[in-house]
Amino acid sequence: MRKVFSILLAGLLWISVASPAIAASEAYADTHLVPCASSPAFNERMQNAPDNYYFNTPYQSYAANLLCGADGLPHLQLRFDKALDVIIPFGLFFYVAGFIGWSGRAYLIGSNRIAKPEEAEIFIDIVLAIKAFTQGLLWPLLAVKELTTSELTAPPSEVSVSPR
Amino acid sequence: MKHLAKYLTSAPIMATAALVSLSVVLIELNHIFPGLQYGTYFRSLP
Repeated sequence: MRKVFSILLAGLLWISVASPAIAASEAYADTHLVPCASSPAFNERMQNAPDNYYFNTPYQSYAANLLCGADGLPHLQLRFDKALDVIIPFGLFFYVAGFIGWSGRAYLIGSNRIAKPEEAEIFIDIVLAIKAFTQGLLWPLLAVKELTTSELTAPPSEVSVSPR
Repeated sequence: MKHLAKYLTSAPIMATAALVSLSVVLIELNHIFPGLQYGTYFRSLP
């Protein structure tokens, strides 16, 4: 196990050290992509775009940061130094999806403890909902906690198994 | 007043309120960071 970790660590270090060493011009040498600023098709699109804030700022940003294909549109290259650009939106999505799921679950669990659980599903109990949202914000911590205390999963004795 | 409060907490009204607030957040994000997409997060806008 220790050997696997050391190999993994060596690999990660190599990637993190090696990628800045790739010069900007070499980074896209193995693709047909060119920097958007030097792509004629992209420049044509930029000139034909409406002249306002919502078009100018993105086009300037794409021209400075992204690589364009023959169609003049920005394309992503799978590169380790761009990995954060994928990890951050994925992390945000994952957190938001978990927040929605966990708050709904917390609300339903909470509503089962009050006198009329059905009514709480039609008329939202604001106090309970705010409590559920607060729990939802902390969902990664709560999920780990409930998993370790086995509140999150049913015990094996409650899980029905079809006859074999 | 009590009936109005109860009506306002009904599921369809709350769902609409949630949708409107989410739309406001997304529209404002697009206003502050227009064209935000993969590959442009860590480079300052020119």
